[in-house]
Amino acid sequence: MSALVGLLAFAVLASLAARRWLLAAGWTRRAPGLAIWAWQAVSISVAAALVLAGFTLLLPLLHLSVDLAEVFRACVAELRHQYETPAGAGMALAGGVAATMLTARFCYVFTAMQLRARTTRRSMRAQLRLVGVRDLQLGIVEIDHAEPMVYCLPGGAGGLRARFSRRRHGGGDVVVSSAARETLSPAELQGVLAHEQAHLRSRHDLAISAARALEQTFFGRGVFALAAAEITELAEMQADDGAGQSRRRDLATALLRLSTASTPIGALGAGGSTAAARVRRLARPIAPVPRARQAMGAGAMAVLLLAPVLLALLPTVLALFLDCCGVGGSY
Amino acid sequence: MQRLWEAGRPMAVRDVLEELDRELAYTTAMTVLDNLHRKGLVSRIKRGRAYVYTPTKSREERTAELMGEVLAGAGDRGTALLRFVEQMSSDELAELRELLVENEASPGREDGAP
Repeated sequence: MSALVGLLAFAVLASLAARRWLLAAGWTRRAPGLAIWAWQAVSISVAAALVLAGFTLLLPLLHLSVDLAEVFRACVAELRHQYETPAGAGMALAGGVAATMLTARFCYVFTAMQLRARTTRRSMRAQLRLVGVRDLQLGIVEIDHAEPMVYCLPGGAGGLRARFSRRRHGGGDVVVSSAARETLSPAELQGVLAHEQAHLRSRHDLAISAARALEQTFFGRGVFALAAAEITELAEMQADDGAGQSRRRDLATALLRLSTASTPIGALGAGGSTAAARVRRLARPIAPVPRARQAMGAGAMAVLLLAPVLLALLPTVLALFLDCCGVGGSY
Repeated sequence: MQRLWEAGRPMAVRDVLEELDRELAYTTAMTVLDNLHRKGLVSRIKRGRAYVYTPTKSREERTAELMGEVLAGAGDRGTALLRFVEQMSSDELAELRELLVENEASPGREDGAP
């Protein structure tokens, strides 16, 4: 029972901690890269805690408990007793089923998302080959259109292969409409390109995909929904930083010019535009994260990620100290 | 496709070959046009012994289709692509226009200014 309680308590506490220290915290806007890692660590650890909570319930019913007891040289009966709950086998099965379904759901949602993305990208590339004009000097594909638009299409050479390619970015294309090219000065265009290339280098599409998959897996509840929204916004800021200090001002004006030149959808705002926040943020220089802070962050994340595993094994450890016949100690 | 769009009239393989900058075998051009036809990008009718080809949609239409996909993709929360700036409401647009005015009013400002 201690595993169940410990894991659920951890899930709740980690979620609360994220809301308190990660959500809309000042430091996340100064160090977006680190913040993205932090949100990922929180999401993974909370998800792992919830899933492990279900699986540990199942443990007394499985042969796995015998193997586990052997590994730790504990008493099997005692080990099973530690993982049992008053509700018995019924709850154990329910927990196990829930955990399995959540894991399966995540795998399905994430894979489906990636496949859909791949199909869309392939079809887009085919269309770009028809209507786009490649500018080899700038490394972009230009399309003749009156609506200003710039976007990047990840994974040109195929996802995994691109990782090992010697290209400046992770294999992908940056697409610019003619209207966008006309609106921007050459310096601004360079800034925008650097931003998009930073997206491709960091593979933000994967990070955002995974976060959204987790959000969908847990039905848009809790810390996962927050993580997805935050990671999306932070990715833009990290890409802004990725363009370099010298292009910061150009990037800000490019952002202003492109957004004001485009056609809006609807009249009601979603409560503060990301673009405006980015422009204001670009007025400040890039804030490098001190080594000490980075180390602290890495440490905190390691703790977060290890905690669910340790908590799941806690009853096994407790079982070690107790004898089979209950002679050794009290509990 | 470029040549077909530019011509604005139905073209046979022979005509396309004439328009091309580079040297290409007749059979190669014929194969390419045949593939385009199979993909539904061009339609063809027989004139005498040869086919003449016409694009099924204009270049503008194709481009507009592509742009439509990009805009729709963003709304579907898919991650096929990442846009530099998302579409926004007119409220957000107004906020940005204000920032633009402020920005243009102070061109010499250093990046480090608060």
